[in-house]
Amino acid sequence: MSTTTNTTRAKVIMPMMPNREDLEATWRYLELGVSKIMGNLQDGMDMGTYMGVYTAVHNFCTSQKAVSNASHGAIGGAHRGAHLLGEDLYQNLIGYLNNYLKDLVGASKTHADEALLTFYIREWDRYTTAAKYINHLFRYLNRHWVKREMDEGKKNIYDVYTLHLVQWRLTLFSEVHTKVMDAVLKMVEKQRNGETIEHGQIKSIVDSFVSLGLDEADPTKSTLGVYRYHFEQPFIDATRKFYQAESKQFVAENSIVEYMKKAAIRLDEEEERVKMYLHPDIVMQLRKCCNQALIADHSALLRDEFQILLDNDRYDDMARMYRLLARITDGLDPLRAKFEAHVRKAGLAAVSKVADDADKLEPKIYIDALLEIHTQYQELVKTAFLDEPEFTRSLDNACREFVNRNQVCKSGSNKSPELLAKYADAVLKKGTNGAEENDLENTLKQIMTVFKYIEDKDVFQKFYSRMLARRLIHTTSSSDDSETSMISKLKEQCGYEYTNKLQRMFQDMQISKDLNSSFKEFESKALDGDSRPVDATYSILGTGFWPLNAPNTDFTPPPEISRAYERFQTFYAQKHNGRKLTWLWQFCKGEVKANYCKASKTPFTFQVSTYQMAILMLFNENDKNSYEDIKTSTQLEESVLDPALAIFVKAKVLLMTGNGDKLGPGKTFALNYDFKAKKIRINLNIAVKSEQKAEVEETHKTIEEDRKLLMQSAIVRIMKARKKMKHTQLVSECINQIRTRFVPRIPDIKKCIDILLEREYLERLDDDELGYLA
Amino acid sequence: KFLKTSGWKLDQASDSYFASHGIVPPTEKGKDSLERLFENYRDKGDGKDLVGAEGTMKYLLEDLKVSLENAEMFIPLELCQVPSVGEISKDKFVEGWKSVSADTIAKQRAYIKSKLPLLSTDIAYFKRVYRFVYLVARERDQKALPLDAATTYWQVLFNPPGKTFVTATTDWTALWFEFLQAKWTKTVNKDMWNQTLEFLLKAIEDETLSFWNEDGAWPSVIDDFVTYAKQKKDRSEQMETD
Repeated sequence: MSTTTNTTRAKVIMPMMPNREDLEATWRYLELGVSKIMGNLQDGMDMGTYMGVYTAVHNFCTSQKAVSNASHGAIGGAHRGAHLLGEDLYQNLIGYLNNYLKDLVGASKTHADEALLTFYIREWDRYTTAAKYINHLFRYLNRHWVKREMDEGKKNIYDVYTLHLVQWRLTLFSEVHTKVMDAVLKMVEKQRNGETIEHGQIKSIVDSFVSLGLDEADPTKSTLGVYRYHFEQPFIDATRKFYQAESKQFVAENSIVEYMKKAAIRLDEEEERVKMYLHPDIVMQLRKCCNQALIADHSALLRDEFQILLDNDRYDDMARMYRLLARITDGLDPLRAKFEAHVRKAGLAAVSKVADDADKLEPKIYIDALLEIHTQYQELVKTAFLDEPEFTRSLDNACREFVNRNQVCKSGSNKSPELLAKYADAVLKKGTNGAEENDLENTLKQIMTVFKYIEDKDVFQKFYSRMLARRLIHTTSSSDDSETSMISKLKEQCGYEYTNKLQRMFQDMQISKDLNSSFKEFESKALDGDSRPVDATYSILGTGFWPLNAPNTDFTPPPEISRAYERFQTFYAQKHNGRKLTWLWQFCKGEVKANYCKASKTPFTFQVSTYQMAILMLFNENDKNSYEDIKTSTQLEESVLDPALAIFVKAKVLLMTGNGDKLGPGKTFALNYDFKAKKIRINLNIAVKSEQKAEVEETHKTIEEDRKLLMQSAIVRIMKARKKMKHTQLVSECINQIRTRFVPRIPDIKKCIDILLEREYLERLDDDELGYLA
Repeated sequence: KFLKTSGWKLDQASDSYFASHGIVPPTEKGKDSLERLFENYRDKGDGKDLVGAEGTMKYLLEDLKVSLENAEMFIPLELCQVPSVGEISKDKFVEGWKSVSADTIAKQRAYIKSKLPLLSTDIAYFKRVYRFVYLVARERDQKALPLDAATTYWQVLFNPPGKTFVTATTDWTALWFEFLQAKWTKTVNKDMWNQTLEFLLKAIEDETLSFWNEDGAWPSVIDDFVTYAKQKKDRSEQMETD
């Protein structure tokens, strides 16, 4: 404390240097010096006294050595003598300290609470400062006698400074520590109740307690033993009691939300407390204790409240709850379970709200409903749960559940991917929404969000590729960039194989473009005499990549068209020898101008399918054609002919005569010269509802077939690699391989195994094992 | 690849190998008499070293006096490893009978008599015969057995002196036929044929079918059968409690 050690303000007269061999006299001399330091250090100490004491210690130890040597003459006596005599000094010092401290204990009894703390701290400071000086004075003893004793492994011998601490602990600390602690705890409680306290005092007490921790094995090191036992333990106990009582009362009187706020504040306060005046060692313990008393003890109540918070979208409160429960082990698991269940329920509710009639459900409405729930709860995870991975997983699980198994998907889980693909089609189609590039990109991202949760990714692929094919051949795609962007997104999720065909379709279109321009050149040269070439573009589509089938009806194209396409065929055969072209008439379309109409000066333009075109062309020759005539000239099947004609009749392009309203044999059709319409360009190429439905069904059927093949090829692949495998292992491996596409059912896999057994790709070995037959 | 599934054939083949080469003099003599016996049944129309349907019938019915109505007839047929029902090939005939040292009709009859009770008691022997039947029952160019043919053979094999499958509460063979009648329309492939026996053998050990589970290695037809059997059991239990 005092820095005035070397001043010579006041002088206590020191007696004469004692005889170096006289223990009594020497100690009396030393005691005087020691008490001077103990009692009046602030008065300073002159160099003389200091030197005197130091010399006295030195003299005593060295002289006695000589004397004992001389008088006894025993071998090794020097050592032994110094040993014994050093001990006398040492013991005397202990005695002195004992007395001194006993007095202090007596004095402490008159103090209590804060006064006691003040007293303790003051005395501690004085004592430890003095101890440092005394340690210096007795350095000779330390260096020789003490060191030797310790080297010999004697217990309970300490250097003089440590000796001071030991004595303090033995004599004073053991008497007063409970009272001191009580005072400390009282102060802390006051602070917890909102009063201001002088926390420096507590800090000093902590420091004192820490200093008293001496390592028995190695006195130069200190341990936290004393502190832990006498400070930390009571402190934690008191804290626990305090918060148990407080939280119990608070919960009884306030809402859970209020309680959470309170608890959060309390927890912060305790952290702050540690920083302010406690030993950092306590952090873990204290935190644990608070977590237990403030959170874990009430976790059931908190969790019950969670559902209410979820129901009411109380993000802030949920965030608070998350932070609280995150502090205790397994605190969040029940929350996650509740959250997952809640999201699933919300998702199902949202779906059933829009799903009154699953057949007529608009893809957009459905997907929006799914997205809305996802967006809402993703936001919640982000703001309230800090994007914690486990919560994100719960969200994903819930979404996967309600995306794949909801009211719309009752009949099978492939409704969701179908609707999603339709939605994607609507988004990517030209002119449907006139959205900005940016918006479009965002929408695609949203589609991918839903796609991520779709289990039957193969179903999406099927529908998507069909619709992409349609967009490409009818050039109704809104932008190539968006199409490419979508495909690359799918590729990123599902890999090269998944989008391979989609990409090939794109390439085909690109190649076709080039092909068409070189065909134009070819045609202009080859055109001898034919004055009316049909202005046509051709798309060459690789059979394996496009999900399109050859037409299901015979067809004789009108001569105008056949001439044109025959030219193209010659051209193509020149370019690529040996390739076979199949004409997909059902996907072809064209425009015809109707010059005959009386109602309009500018001729109408009809957008028609090739089939329809063939029908109309017949009227170039005759104004009237019978159903039978049309049928024989075009060679169309009734299933195709009837709908095509129906549209003409409905639009009054053709007038039907004959008995009854039904299309069919016996009817005659006449060109309507009085055709009227508001627009110049009229689209008559309208897909019929029943056709669309049939196509959906067909798609589903091909999906089933493809799945069987996929499973079988997976099984063969696995077996080829392993040669031999247990049945159950094979099944689970198969599921693993296919899961990215769809989730196969075990009975389906078994059926595939049966088929492979029958075809002798596999054989059954003993013990549920299967073998691969090359 | 058939060697593995019918590993027993190998054993037999090597048996006869040792029999013919180990103790040459007596078997050589047996060989001659057996060859002579074989020629007795060969018709002019039959191929070389082959006895046709008529000869086979004569051999089985008139000489060996085995019944064609039950599993007994499969004992000599299996021993001689006939290529199909109604055909016997010479080398297999000689080899088979020689392996059991039966070169006269009397000895052969005695052999059949000794084997007859084993059909229902020696499971390994029964299984051997059972699997053999599938191979000969099949039309040569066909992989699977038509259901009605399979049913006929099952009926022969699963009735005395063949092995029967009846437990305290269930006649498994009858239930199996009932199930096929109701639910099965396809042909019977080799796996189904073999696994049917495996399943029935297990079913008579444990008629609660606790050895079965949905994810097990059984072919789907067995899974379907178990479902059928369990439903039926549930129904009848319900009726009892009502």
